[in-house]
Amino acid sequence: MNDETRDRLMAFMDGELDGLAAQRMATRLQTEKELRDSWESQHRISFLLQHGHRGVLLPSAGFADRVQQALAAEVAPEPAARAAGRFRWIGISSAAAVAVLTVSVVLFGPAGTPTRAVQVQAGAASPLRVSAVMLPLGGDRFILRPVRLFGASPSQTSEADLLIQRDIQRIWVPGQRRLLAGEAQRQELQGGRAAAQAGGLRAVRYGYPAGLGLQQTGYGAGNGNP
Amino acid sequence: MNRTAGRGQQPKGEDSGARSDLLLVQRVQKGEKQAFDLLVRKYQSRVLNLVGRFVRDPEEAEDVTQEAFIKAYRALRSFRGDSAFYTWLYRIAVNSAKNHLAAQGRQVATSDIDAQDAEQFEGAERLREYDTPEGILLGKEITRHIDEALQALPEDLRVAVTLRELEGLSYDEIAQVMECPVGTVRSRIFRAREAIAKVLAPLLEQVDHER
Repeated sequence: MNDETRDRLMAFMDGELDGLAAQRMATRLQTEKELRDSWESQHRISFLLQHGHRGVLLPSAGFADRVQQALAAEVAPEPAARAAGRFRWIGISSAAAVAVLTVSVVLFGPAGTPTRAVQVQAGAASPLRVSAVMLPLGGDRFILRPVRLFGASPSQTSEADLLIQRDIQRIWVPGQRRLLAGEAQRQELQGGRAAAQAGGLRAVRYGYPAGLGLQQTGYGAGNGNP
Repeated sequence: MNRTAGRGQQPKGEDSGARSDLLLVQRVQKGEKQAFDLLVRKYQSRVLNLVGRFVRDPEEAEDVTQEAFIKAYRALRSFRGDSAFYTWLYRIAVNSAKNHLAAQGRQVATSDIDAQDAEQFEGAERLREYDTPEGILLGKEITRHIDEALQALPEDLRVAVTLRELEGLSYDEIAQVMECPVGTVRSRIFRAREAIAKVLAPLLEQVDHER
């Protein structure tokens, strides 16, 4: 042990190391056995010098190690305030999850009819809820939009969501296993693009495939979507 | 050598060492168990002897001491630094010792002493000393070895460690008395303790083997 380390160890023992220097010495003591042994020896001799003139009890060899072993299975403590703060944030996060993380995953099958419905609830304490309607379709999958938006008014529907709905209706035809719609739909798509390029709005009526049990939702002109 | 001047007096460094204790406690609260190991190594002798004033059997006293440290570790969540860590630890140790005696239907041997005094190691000095024949003999042996070790030390080391451990002076006060920097005082005390540890080592090993 060099002079600097010795001086710092003594200063730390005396509580005279500040800030980063104290943290560094604590880290070294926790990781360097030689330094830790010296820490223990210095304290033991100090105790014996002060109290050894009368009968004293001496800890048996390895006492601290045995305490350490006994504590090995213990969960590290933490301040109550921090624990309370953590639970508060969990509560806030859970509330946010209610608002944001309700997601519907829908799979379309050849017949467009749901064959099974799976609803997953992530524990009683958590409001997180995911709804999924699964249909046999050989692995094709579309993620639509948060279920809370199902049936929402057009003014509350995002533009991105409408675009997804439109593309599903125009390009992907359930049950036909093809990604392009027929000639009429292609023309309608081109017409929509032309109208959008002209800056105009176009009334389009969208509907869900039969079998999903969902009511048709119409979006009129003025919703800001092409 | 005068051993009475600082006797029963908490060394001033012990109080200032409370800052380091608090730092270690905060590390434990962050999940660093090794930091608690340092506190155990620092306080094991003091806590064992405090418990030993209630629980006379050495092996039982050591078991209760271990239990006290484990209780302290579990309770560290509630420690906020309102009092010094060692005061808090001593209180747990005293309660552990009393509970141990109560569980065995034994009366607390120090009922005539204010229990509050025992929560401070200084107060516990007024409790019965470890006055079994073995304890007395060991005390004499330790005293003899320490005196021999002190006499063998260079004068500057002997004066520094004597002023610190037996007179209870702070490092600053010792530096003034010895007219040298505080760092030099620390170095001298460190080396003096190391030298004494070497002299005491055979005795301490012998005591451990005789258990």
